[in-house]
Amino acid sequence: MTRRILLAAGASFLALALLGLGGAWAIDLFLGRDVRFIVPHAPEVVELQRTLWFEGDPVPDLYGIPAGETVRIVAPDAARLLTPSEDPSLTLMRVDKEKGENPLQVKTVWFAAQWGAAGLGLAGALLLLWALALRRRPVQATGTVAGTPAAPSSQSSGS
Amino acid sequence: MLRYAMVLSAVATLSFIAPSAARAQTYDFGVESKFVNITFESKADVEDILGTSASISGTVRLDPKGSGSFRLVVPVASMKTGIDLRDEHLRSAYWLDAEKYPNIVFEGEKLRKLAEGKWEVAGKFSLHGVTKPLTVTVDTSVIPKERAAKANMGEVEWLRVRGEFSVRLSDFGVKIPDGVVGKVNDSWTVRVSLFGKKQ
Repeated sequence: MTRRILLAAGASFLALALLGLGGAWAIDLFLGRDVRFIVPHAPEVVELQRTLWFEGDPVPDLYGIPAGETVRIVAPDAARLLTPSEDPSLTLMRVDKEKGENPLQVKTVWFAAQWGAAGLGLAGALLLLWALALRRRPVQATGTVAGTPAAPSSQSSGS
Repeated sequence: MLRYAMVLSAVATLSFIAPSAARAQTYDFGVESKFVNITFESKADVEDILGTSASISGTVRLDPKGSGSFRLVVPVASMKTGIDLRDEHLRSAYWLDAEKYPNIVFEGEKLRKLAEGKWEVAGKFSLHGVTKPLTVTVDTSVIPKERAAKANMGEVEWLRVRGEFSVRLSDFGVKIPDGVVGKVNDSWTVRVSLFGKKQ
């Protein structure tokens, strides 16, 4: 019975580890989107910057301070996305930290999935090894059947 | 005769304008938070942390001949990363210790004009009670009052300053606690976009 529980738990842990990795992969593939964060300027500043802008100047700087690189985000809010008319190939995402915005990044999902999978995988493997050890343990010749009490020695000697 | 009078008039006008144009100007920063945008960014395994501050005070004096001085102060308490608990940690004694060192200060008297609209700014950068020399190249633009008025920024001349520099926390005595290694990078990129109002 114990062995069966260990086997079931071990297999479940391994399955969860794989499910976590698969989930992260699916989130990355189906919900992930590459954006460039910008901390937005005030509307007056954007208006002013657009009048000062010359072709060839960095476009993201018009709308805010851009992050250094593109970041892959999970299901970004469409209302926060911005496609500048000066360069429609860009996808900027306004992030207002003053209002507590912190969009979930795909790398965070992968980080959690990988560490979760490592932990669950290790636990699952240990449980399976334990179950295997129980199976291979040699049966002791006690003359009793598991779950039934041994016969009293006085009865056996009197027969 | 007419040509002579015109030349005289032009010389007189130029002699009147030139001294005022070459005079050092002082710009006041932090007059309104909407004209302040400061970001700090850290790349780590867990996530790229992006934080901001919209609070600064201080002045910059620019001499068009190519020198000047400045003092800019950013309160540590104004730094926001988008997660309140993380902001609390940032202000705590384990990190920037806002109670003991409430301000980040950059000040100096070494401003060197590299080109039109490009300056090298060298000064002392103080963070977490440690002061180190720092040199930053910034882009500047003088916004004439007519243009500022059109953008609803008031009928006054402004100076726009944009720049970027890196700061290593360990250089300023901030040790990343063992529990968060991998979640925060020692190196931070700071970017600024500031508008100073002419005094």
